[in-house]
Amino acid sequence: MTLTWNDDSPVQRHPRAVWRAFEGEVAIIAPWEGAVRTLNHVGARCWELADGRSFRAIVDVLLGEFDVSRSVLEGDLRAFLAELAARELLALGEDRP
Amino acid sequence: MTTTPAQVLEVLARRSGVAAIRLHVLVADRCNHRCGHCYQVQGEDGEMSLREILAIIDRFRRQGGLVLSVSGGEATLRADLVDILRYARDAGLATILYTNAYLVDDSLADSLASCDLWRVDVSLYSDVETAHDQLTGISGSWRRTVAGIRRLAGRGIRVQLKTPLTTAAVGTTFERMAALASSLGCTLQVFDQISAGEDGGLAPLEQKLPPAEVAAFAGGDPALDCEAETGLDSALLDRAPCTIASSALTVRSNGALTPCTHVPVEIANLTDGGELEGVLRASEVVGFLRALTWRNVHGCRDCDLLSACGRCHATALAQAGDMLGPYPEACELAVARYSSTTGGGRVPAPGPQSGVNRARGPFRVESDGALTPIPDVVTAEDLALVSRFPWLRGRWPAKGSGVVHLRRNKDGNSLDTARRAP
Repeated sequence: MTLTWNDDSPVQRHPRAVWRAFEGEVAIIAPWEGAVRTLNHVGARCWELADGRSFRAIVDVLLGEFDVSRSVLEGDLRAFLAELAARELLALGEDRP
Repeated sequence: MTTTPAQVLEVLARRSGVAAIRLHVLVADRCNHRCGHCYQVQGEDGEMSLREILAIIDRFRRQGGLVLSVSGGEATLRADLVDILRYARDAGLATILYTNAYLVDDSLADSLASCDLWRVDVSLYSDVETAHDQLTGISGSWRRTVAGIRRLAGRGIRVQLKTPLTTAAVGTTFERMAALASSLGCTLQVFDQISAGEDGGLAPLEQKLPPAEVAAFAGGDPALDCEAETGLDSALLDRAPCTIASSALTVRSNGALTPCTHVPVEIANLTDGGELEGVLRASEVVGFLRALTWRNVHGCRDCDLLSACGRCHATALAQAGDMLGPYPEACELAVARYSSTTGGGRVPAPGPQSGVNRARGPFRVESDGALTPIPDVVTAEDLALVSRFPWLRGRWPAKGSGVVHLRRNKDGNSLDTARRAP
């Protein structure tokens, strides 16, 4: 499945994913897979912000926290979200709470 | 070597700053099997109430816990097991259930499927019914366990077969067990470490698969997760030998918090209240055990087979009277692992040589691959640790010395479900 995010797209962690933030990192466990996934501090911040707010809202927050242009950030965030989606870690469609 | 989820959790436990990232809770002090290799003693501790267990889950979650694993004895003997698992899941924890699946009927499987478990680990000792049943002491246990596994897997629950290399594995192979696991829709974990009893008894070790049989079982497959490199480097010596007091923290069925399932040092009793984080950070024992590295283990720190070692501090105490030194069980296993992966590793026949014990390491790997026992050097720093923590040495600790005292249930029978400690 190819996913795209426009400015108004809600970005939501999968509600069944168990996660915890540890000093800048995030560990994620999805009950449907055996792995424990960890995110570095940038990925962790994106994950924490993925609480249902829009793609644009996340970009706005991150622009205030990282020294990066909007266009680069949007591209990186889309790529990152695509990776999360590929691992079924984002709520999509009927998974959204 | 693949990094396992357990290894990731251990890394997180050590660098996260969270007091306890994983907690193992024994919810039942009884079992419906009588496995010959089992390290546990049942019927002596008693069991926490549901309310006490849920309170511990709350405290674990509050201080940043991520994974809660639940076992017994046999956890499914508790009528409120599903309540425990569901509560943990609703508290935002990833949950693992250890069970023999003997009691998993359709109703229980349905209930467990509703708990959104991360994984269920089921003990299965062989693909041969009679071999499994002989080890469990329960006729028909293999069939019921396999039926339970099918029910769990059929409901989409991730099931992992756990196969310790015991006498029940004689005659089967890793390949056959892997095929069985695959046919059941499960993954397979095989491990070659059997531990002494938690009462210090050595009887469980008698059920260990002999080294020659281990090689036959493996059959050239990477069945055993060990490294074949030899020699020492500083990075290896700075590692912890095991997950004690870290991701192995255990709550016994009576609420006693111990560093792992095997070492009987009671850190606190969690039924007495108090925040878990404060209990752990205030514990001198936890601080000491978390800081342990291979450099603290005399003999082993000089051994060329260190990377193949799977030592257990509790078994070391039971077998050699020294929690932080070499002991025959681990040395034999390290030699077997080394031999199976290199084709060498023979230990010269016993002969007159002072200061070495040929039944155990440390060993030096000679240029031709042969192993030579070398002296086990104990330093003043080692002895200072023993002065500070006397339970590191000697016989299994006695009651009243700040450790959990356990005795084997003489008749070997299970308790009825209502029994509690006086």
